[in-house]
Amino acid sequence: MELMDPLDMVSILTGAGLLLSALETWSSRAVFRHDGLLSWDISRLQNTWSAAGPTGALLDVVERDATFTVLILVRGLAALALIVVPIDHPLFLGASGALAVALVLLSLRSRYGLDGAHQMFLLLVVALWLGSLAGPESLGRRLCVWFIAGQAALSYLVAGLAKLGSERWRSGGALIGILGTEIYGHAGAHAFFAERPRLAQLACWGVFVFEIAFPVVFVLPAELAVGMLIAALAFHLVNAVLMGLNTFLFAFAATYPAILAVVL
Amino acid sequence: MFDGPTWIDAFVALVLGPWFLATILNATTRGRALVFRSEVLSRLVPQWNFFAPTPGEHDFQLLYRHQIQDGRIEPWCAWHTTGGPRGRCAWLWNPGKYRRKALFDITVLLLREIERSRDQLDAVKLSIPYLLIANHLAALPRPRDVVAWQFTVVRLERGGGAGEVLFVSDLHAV
Repeated sequence: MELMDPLDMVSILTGAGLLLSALETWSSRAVFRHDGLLSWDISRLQNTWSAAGPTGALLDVVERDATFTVLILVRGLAALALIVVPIDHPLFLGASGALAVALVLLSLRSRYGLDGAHQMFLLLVVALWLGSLAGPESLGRRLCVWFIAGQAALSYLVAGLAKLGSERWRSGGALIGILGTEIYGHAGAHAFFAERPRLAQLACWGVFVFEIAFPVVFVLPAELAVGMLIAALAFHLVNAVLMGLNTFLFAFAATYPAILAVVL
Repeated sequence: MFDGPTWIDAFVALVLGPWFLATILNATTRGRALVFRSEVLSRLVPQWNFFAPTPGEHDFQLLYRHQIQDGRIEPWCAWHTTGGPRGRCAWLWNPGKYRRKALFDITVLLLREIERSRDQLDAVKLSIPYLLIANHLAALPRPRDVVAWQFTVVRLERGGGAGEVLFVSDLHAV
């Protein structure tokens, strides 16, 4: 039986997450309209390169309401292609390229409203596009796999170290505080941890020790490495349920086939 | 079979290598200052320190009110909030997060702008977060007798207690 290219698995999960993200953006596209909270007419004033000159004029064409709406559709269709088209099919190069351009444009549009899932998706689609360009069994494709795996490990390590450096996280107060909000919180979980501050502290330490230790996944025996990825997946599932971080689940899970390809 | 590096492999390395190094730089305070010198780079290089070192532990709400022709100022109306119920399926379908996150980022940066400008409201009024809120509010439908509007930013207390007013804008003529 021929083994699936790890980037094909990365692509399916990335496509699923980006399809979901495109559908969600479509559903809340009023936020991005000229009179919405993330109006391009105002956001472009942030920088000279977006407000004036040739780059400003070019961006103004692609970021206006009508084009932005078309870009959401392009993102949805290209994401669907990532799910169904294998990486070595000629269509894949176009679909991943279109997605990369659309996500870069979204990043350039405004510094507000985007999250870590968007950052990871951007890395993933560019790596997928380059991997498709490089072709099967090439050094370029291997570099793409290492890049994705490396960025995933780096993301956990940096997130863990940043938490370790914060008194608020070390004391457990951060967890109770975040869960107490409505934007990223959960009333039941907040009440549970607020009554058990020692458990909240233990949970915080558990999270950042796990995050800091994540890069050891590359040197663990295969069975333990798989166990670590299952634990990480469970972590993102809990975050999706308690914090509403649904697209993080797809964005980070999409990196795991690349990690496994490096480990195995 | 692997036939040795090609120019495409070199191109891949040239794109991904610096991107990876910039991500490492962006994880350090001094490196971040370097990356943030370029606004474009700062938008494309990930910053992986989610919710740390200082997590957001409050929700915010925007409210607005109108001044009408006879000079009276109407009571505050609740407008956008970073809170509100997410729905039972938000673990899978959460379209409201874009508006909430946008409002959260805009509010946090507006407050930072206010702190930086030390209550010089003119400088704050020219900041992007202020203009984004003002532009959005200006587009709201309003009765004909309204002559001016203003908004306020409130930090909500947990459990629905009275919030703390953090900022009140000027009255802006319609």
